[in-house]
Formats: sequence, structure tokens, C-alpha cells
Amino acid sequence: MRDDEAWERLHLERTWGPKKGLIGWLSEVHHTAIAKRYIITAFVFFLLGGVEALLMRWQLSGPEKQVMGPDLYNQVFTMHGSTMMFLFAVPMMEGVGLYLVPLMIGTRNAAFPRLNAFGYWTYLIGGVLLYAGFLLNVGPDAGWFSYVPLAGPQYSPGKRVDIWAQMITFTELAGLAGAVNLIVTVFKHRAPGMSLNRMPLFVWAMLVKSFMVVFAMPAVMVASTCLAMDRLIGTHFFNPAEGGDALLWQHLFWFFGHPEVYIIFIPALGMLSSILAVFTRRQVFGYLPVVLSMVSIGFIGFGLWVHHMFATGLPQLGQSFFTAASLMVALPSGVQIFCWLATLWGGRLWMRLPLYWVLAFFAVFVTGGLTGVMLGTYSVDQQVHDTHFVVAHFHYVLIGGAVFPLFGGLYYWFPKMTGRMLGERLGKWNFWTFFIGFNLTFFPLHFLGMMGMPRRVYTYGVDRGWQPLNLLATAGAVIMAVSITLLLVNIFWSLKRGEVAGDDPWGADTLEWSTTSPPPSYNFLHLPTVRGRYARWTAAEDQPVVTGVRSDRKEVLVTRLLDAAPDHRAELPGPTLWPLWVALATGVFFIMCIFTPWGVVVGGVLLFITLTGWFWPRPPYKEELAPEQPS
Amino acid sequence: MSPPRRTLDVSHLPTFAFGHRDPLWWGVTGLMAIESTAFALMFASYFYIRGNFPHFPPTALPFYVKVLAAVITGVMLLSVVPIHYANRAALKGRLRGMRWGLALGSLLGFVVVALRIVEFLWIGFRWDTHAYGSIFWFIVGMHTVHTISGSLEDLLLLGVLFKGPVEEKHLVDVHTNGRYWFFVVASWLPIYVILYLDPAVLAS
Amino acid sequence: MRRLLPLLLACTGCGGLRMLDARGPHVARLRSLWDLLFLISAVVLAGVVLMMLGALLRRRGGSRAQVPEVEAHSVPPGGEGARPVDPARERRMGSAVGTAAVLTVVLLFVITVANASTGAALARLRSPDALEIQVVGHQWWWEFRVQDADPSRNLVTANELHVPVGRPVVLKLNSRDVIHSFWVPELTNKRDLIPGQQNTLELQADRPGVFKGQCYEFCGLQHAKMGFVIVAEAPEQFEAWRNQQLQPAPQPTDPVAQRGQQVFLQGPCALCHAISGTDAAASTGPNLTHVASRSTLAAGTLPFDRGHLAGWILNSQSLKPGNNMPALTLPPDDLQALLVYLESLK
Repeated sequence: MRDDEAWERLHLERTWGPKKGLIGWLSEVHHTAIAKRYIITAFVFFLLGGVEALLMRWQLSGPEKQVMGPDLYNQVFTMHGSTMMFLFAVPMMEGVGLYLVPLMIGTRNAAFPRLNAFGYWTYLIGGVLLYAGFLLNVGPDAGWFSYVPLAGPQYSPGKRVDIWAQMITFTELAGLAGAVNLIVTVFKHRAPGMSLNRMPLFVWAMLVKSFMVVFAMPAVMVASTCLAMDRLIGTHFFNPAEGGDALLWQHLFWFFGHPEVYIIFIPALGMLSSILAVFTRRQVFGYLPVVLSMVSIGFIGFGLWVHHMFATGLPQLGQSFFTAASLMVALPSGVQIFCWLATLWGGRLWMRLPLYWVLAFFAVFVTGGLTGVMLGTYSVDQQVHDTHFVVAHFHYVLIGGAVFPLFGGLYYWFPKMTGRMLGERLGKWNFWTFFIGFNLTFFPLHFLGMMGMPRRVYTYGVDRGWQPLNLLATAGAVIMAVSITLLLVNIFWSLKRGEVAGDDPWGADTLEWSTTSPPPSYNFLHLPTVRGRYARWTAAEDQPVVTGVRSDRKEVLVTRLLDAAPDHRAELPGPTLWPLWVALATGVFFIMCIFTPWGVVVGGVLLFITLTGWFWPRPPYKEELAPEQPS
Repeated sequence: MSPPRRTLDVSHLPTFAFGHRDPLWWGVTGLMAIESTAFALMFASYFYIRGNFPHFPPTALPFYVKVLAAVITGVMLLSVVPIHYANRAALKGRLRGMRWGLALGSLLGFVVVALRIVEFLWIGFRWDTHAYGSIFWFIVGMHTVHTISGSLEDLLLLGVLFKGPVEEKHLVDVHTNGRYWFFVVASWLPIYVILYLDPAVLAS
Repeated sequence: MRRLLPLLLACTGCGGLRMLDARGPHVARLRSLWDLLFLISAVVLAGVVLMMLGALLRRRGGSRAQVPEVEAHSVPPGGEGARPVDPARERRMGSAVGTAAVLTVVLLFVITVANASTGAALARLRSPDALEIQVVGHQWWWEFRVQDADPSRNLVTANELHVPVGRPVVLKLNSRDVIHSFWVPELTNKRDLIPGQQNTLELQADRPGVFKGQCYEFCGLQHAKMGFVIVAEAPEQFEAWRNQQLQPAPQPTDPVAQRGQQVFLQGPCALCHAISGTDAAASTGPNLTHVASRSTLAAGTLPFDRGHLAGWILNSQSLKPGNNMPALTLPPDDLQALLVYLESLK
């Protein structure tokens, strides 16, 4: 390393490095640090959700089992659904995106670092609130969908549903903050030369996902606010007796709830595309069709929420329309699958663990997609709706479509995040047990649904003939649990003893692999430039680097939206506690609102105070001052 | 790693920019998109609930509330003038113009809030009277929250402009804040049309 | 293949795939659609998996050292970072992907048309002279009201419904509290019972049989134990059932049963339940006029016999926790009398 390079590194480290101690930890705003917290927290919730799943499978392994009573079971399945959707899947994808996107596009931090920190803290408050409620026996018990009137004031007295509603508000706030952050980071901070049509597919996926969050999550926030108000101050949004409407809830919820599935699934497509390119040693076939497919899934995803409501007795015309829309989404999904298959077909496969998970994705996800076509067809949906067939379907789609690629991504990016490789042998055990356990658990549920077994039942009669398949499913769940244990062992073992990865163990194409593993607090010594898709593969030997960005301040390069030509230099804020205070004020606001409407006033005042603290300028002031100053 | 031979020097580039070149502009655009979606969904809910009432509206809006709503709309539109003036001043870095614009803008914002409180006192039904009351109070209440927060934001910036030092990026902040206020005003217009100018409501 | 799987499942001691076991024209229609979808799905899945396995077997042995392939125009000049993809191969793959996309469109079109025509066929099965039955959902039991042109012949019963074979039945669905959902896999598709809204659902049984249904929309604590039974029987048997259900409950003649009736009417039972021909006319709980003619208790939770009836009356909360019937404490004699009385309500 040359002397001036070492000097530069030192300088950057001093500028970008975190503060020390507990305060330093709490005031951290760098995207890799925040993203790691997201990922770890979401993984912990994944484990908790998994334990809940095991409890349910235990209860259902035989007829009339007494592992839990109905009250606890209903809490457990509500917790499982809410945890997996709101506390695991979305934040996990958010976290992976926050970690990788700034690195992949070659910048030093996300566009709004403090917003990132705020998002994490609100998410954490939401998750802790939900589990605190559960432990105090006020765990929500009306399902992750909280249909009214069951979740309304009359049929769910107490505070259980209120806790659910406010958890939603917290996690959606976090999701929205993260989405806006990612959009702006992608739009304005890409490395010079990375025009929109040279962005890695992963970045495209995160962009599409973030746009979907922006337009989908307000729906559930509006809905959960209405529900909370119905319960707290006696509004009548969902009360048919006073002109409200029970189905209005379902419309609002699924206007969010269906895009939610794609919000979880599209980032996984990005991970999959990254892995495929590297392990087939070629570009992904059909960049443009794949991007267009993701974008059109993003659009169509908003036009099919009603297929969750085919059994509510809608007019036939509406059902036909939403059936057509639901089937339409199979086309871009299909085109993507075909492009990836072509990539496999045209490449030379490097059989490493990330690719294993991706290959399994094809079998599992396509199965779920095909049952999805069945469910999107209203005639069939009106048969299997709300049976275990649906449980099978969406676990095939969500675990197959999101968790398999996510685990592939874990094996792929773990070396970048930690500097060490995950163990290959344990990894293979982890993979095969998961694959087998998964199919054993969920494939039989298709049949159970066709036999008439409803969802969300805490038990079933001895005479129903549902025991053998349920027992099989439970056995599969145990195998999955073993698999996850192996994964945990692998992670902890590899953190200490794993093979040292180096900067780029895979010979990969995206920019995160051009910096150290794990990346330094400033991400890159020199901000990179790009001359093609697959940035590192297409880089010229003397590919220029950016100079003239100050290293004594947290300065980053802002580029133009379309062609990523350099536009101006911007300074990003550094570590601060204010996002934490604002998140806590938000916490007081919404948690107090569970008990009294005065929460709005108290929380509002606290929010104003903390936000003022957030935005109030304080030294050191920048030297670039406006031409006129107060005297 | 071989030492880089070619470089792309960006030291000559400015350190701030107005409009869509500025990341914050996009951040605020995202916020507007989120809030527009929320308002759109509230409107959809309004129409959904409206269909449940054979006699709509179940409680008529008093005449003076209709007048008041028109006045509020007028004041809202009027507030665009000082804020626009502040924006122009921000582009040129003129302190006086920004201060006057923000001060008048927030004053008009608080006038709207005061009138809104009077409206709520006169309106004759509550959020728990019926579903129409619920959605009416919800939409108007949410907009009032935006009006309050927008006006407070004006005051906050005013404080920065008086305290100093005023950095370049504060000019961008003033401009962004102004744009957000335009959004608050613009989002009031469909609310006014849908909630107050509905023929059934007007005739009631 | 179509027959094999259900058979296999039946052999392993599972109930059959009831949804495919059509016992009426509606489900028979749906079955044809299902078969088409199943066939398409199986072919597509097999195709994708075979393509994947083909690729897997074909060209392995990539490694980190392998120079990646990218578009010819983005291969770096002079660099060794990448080499160009083979344009001929890309073209072949392009036409394969294109063909697959076109096939997808065709299949989706076929499915859309098949679905719509199934919907239309189901609509055509609607008949003006269908037997109308009102179904009211309650937490956690079913109220059935068999309607007649003559309002005095409207009958009310609970949790067990008889329908005539061969005659279309139209169900008018509504709920008294939260959302429930009605499905009998062999006879119908599914429809929600929503408070403040009336939904309709048609069914028709072609052959006699006893079919289990239950609630399919999560409706609270005892969603799992909200079952019902549909008995399809010959029209004359159905008429006999209807006439018998229309009768008021017989006045007990046996002194023990008479005492049981007193217990019923003077105790808390009459606060919630109705028995026609007596003063008990409450509608909070199931109508018990002919409770002894039903095969189950507590919405399919227990078989109807004296032991279970006694257990249910004394301790319903441990049999179906959270249900709306309070636990009763009755002296043994009163209980015996009540049981005798209830059992007389054929």
C-alpha cells in the first residue's frame, strides 16, 4: 500500500468511523451497521416465529391434542403470521437492501443516514411491543389479517388487537423510511457511469420493492389507524350498524397485503439474479426482460388484491376482472423464470452453496406459483380458500420465493459481511435437511386442504381422517428445525473459525466485492466508476476512480438520475442520538394511544421537541455559507 | 491491486443544488407520494362508506360550516403567495425575503388551524356519531395535522434564519419546505371538493 | 394418475380428497376445471424442473477462475475481466424464452376462459324453484331456516340441515356477529357469512349422503369447533323431516320429563334457547325444539347421546372452551329430568 493511500485511509477512518462506547453504538448511522442490526433482529424474529410454527405443528400433529388451548393457539398463530410478515420478511429484505445497495452502487452511505437509524429503532420498538404483549398474555389473537368485526371493539375487548395495530404502525413507519431512503440512494448516489440501464439487477429489485412499499404500506397504516380509532374512541369505520363496512377493512388490508407478498419476494429475485450471474459465470440472460418483469410485477401487484376476497360474494364481473389480473402476473413471473433457466442453460455452473439454494428455488417456487394460478382463478379459489391448501401455497411461494434465495444470499454475502466463509459441509447438511423438511411439511398440506381442513383451527376431530398427513407435516417441521439449528451452528462456528474470505472469494461482478470484507466505515477508499453492467467484470484495466471528494468531511458524490453523471458533492450527517429520541417519542405517541387519546397530544409535543433537536443546526458549521447572514 | 492511473476529479463540483438535483427533493417527493396514497385511500374509504347511507349525508353540514370551509380554502390558497416569495428569496440567498415569506406563511397556516377549530366546534356531529362522521373527522383531522406540522416547520426554519449561521443547505431546506407546503395546500383542494362541494352535501 | 392419488390417500387411512369427490353438479363442474388446472400445472412444473436438471447435468465445472461472459460491447478493451457471450447461443436461448412466454400466454388464456365458463356454468345451475334456506352464522354454531312459500311453514333448526336430493338449494347467508364462511367440499364452493350483507350460494346433492361442513373463516376462540352436517335424502324423506321439524315439541307425558321441562323453563336454559310449543323463545343459542333428532351436539363437537349431553350441560367450558354457554350446576335429579326431557325432543 502506498503512503498516500494509507494516509487517505486514516483520514477516511477518522471522518467516517463510529463513535466509541454505548453512546457511539446508540448514535450509529452508517448503513452497514444499521443494516446488520436489521438483519440480526429480523433473524431473531424468524427464530421466534419458527418456534411458534413448531408449537402449532405439535398441537396439530394429532386430533384433539392438548398442547395448547384455543386462546393460546390463536395468539400463537397470530404471532407467527405477524412475526414472519412484519418482523422478519420485510425488515430482513430491507436490511439486506440497506447493507448492499450503497455498496453495489459505489457510495459511502445511504442518502438519509439518520432516517435509517430512526427506521431501525421504530422497528425494534414495534417488535418488542408485540412480544412484550405476548409475554404478558395480551398477545394479539385475531390473526395477522385482523378481520373486523372479530378484531373490532365488540368481539375483541381488551388490548390485544390494539397492540397488533400499533405494531403495524411501527413496522410500516420503518418500512416507509427505509423505502424512501433506498429510492433516493439509488436515484442520486450511483457511481459515475452506472446509468439506470447498468444497475445491477439486485438494485433494480430493491428499487421496485421500495416503490411498492411507498404505495402499499400507507393502506395498512390507514386501516390500522381506523381500527385503533374504532377501538379507542368509538369511530364506526367498520361497524355496519352505523354505516361502516366490514369489507372495507379487507379491501384496505389486501390493497397492502397483496403487494406485501411482492415486497418480500422481489428483493429475493434480486438476490437470485446476483447469485445466478456469479455461479453460472455469465451475465443473466435478458437484462431488459427481467427488469421489465420486475417493474410490471410491481404494477400488476396492486391490481389483484381482491383475489383474497373471492369468497366474500363480490359481483361476478369483478371476480372475472381480478382473476384475469391475477393470472396476468404469471406472465412476467414466467418470463423471469425462463430467463434464469436460460442463464443456467447458457452458463458453466459452479456448484457452490448459494447456487444450491437458487436451484431449489426453481422447483419450490414454481410449485407455489402454479398453485397460485389455481388460487387466482376464482372458481377454484372458492373451493380451497381458507383451507390448508392455501397454507401450503403461500409457504411454497414465500419460503420458496423468499427464504430459499435469502439463504442462498446468506451463503453468498456472509463472507462480505463478516470476512469469513460459511462452512461448506455443514452448509450442505443445512441445505438438504431444509429442502427435504420443507417439502415434507408443506406438500401434505395441499391434500389436507382438499380434504377440507380449514386454516387457523386449533384442533380437529378424531373422525376427520386428517391425522396421518398432519403427523407427516409435523415431522417435516422438526427436520426444518434441525436444519435451522445446523445453520446457526454453521454461522457461529464460521464467525470464529471460518475460512478467511478475502475481498472477493467468488470472482463476482458487483462493486461490493471490490472493497475489503467486511467493508470499512467509508465503504471505498476511492469512489469507483462504472463502464457497463456487471461493473467489475466490465471494468477497464485502468478504470478511473473518483477524486476530489473531501475525506475530512462525510462527503459523497451526488449523480444525475438517469445517466449517473457527477452533479454535486453533498455532505451527509454523522452519528447522532436524535433518531433514537424521535423513535422513542414515536413510541410514546403510539403506545400511549393504546390506552388514551391523550397519547396524540403528549406524543405530538415530544415529537415536535425531538424533531426540532434533529433538524436544529449545531457546530461545526459548514464553511459554505449563504451570501446573507443574520447580523 | 494496481494503483489507479486515471481519475475522475469532482472537486470543482458545487456542494449543494436546488430542485430534483438535490437528494432531499426526492426524499420529500417520496413523503408526498406516501401521503398522497394515504389520502387517496381515505377518499376511497369515504366513497365506500358513502354508499352505505341511503340518505346522504346522514347529518347535514350547517350553512356556516360550508362558508367557513370556503374561507379556509381561500386562506390556504392565499398562503401560497408568501411561501412562493420565500422560495424565490431562497434561490437568490436573500435573508429578508425568506424571513418575511416564512413568517407570513406560518401565520396564515395558524389562521387556518384556528378556523378549523371553530369549524369542528360548529359542525354538529362527532367522529363517533356515525361512519360518515368517522371518515369526515379522519380526513379533515389528518389534513389539520399536516397544516399544523407545516406551519411549525416554517417557524423552525425561521428560527434557523434568525439564529444563524445560515449555511447553503439551509437555502435548499427553505425551498424544500416551501414545496412541501404547496403539497399541503394542493392536498386540501380535493378534500374540499369531495367533502364540501359534493352536491348532496351542498344541498343538505 | 387422477385416480391413483386419492386412492393412495384413502389407503393410508386419510379421508378422501373430498373436494374432488363431487356429489352434485356444482362440484362436478369445478372438478373438471380442477383437472385441467392440475394437468397444466403438472406439465409446467415438470418442464421447469427438467430444464433445470438438464442445465445442471449439461455444463458444470465452472469455477472462480472461469472468465465470465458478458455482452460483446461491454467486454473491457484489453482487459481479461470478461469475454463475449456466444451470439448464436444467445439467439437460440432468446427464441426459447420467447416461445415459452407465448406458451404461457396461451395457457393463461385457456385457464381464464375455462374459469369464466365454469363460472357461467355454475350460474346457469341457478333455478327459480330452488329451495331457499337462510343460514345465519353465530359464534360458534349455525342457524338454518328452511323457507317456504307459506311463511307458517318456515322452520328453524341448528347445526344439522336436511336437503332433498336432486333439487337445487339456494342458501342465503348472513351473520349475527363476526364473519364466518360456509363450505361443504363435496357439494359446494365457499361463501362468507358477513354481518350487514346477504350472500347467496347454491348447492345440489345428486345422491343421498351425510356431509360434514364447518366454518372456514377464522371467527374467534372456537372457530375449530363450528361444524355442521348436511343430510341429503330422497325428496319424500326430506318432506317427512321438514314436517316433523315443523311440529312444536311434544308435551311430555312422563312425569320425569315433565319435571325436566320445568327445569328447562325455570332455569337459565330458557334465557338463550327456544323450544316451540313452550314459553322458551330466546334466540341467542340454538333452537332446541327437535334437538334429539340431530346427530351431534355443540355444532359437531360431540355425538348426541345422554352421556355427552350431561357433560355438555354441566361443563361445556371444558369441552369447547370459550363458547357462550355458561357452566350450570344442577342437582342430580334435576339433571336427570332435564336429560330425559331433552332426549324426548325428537
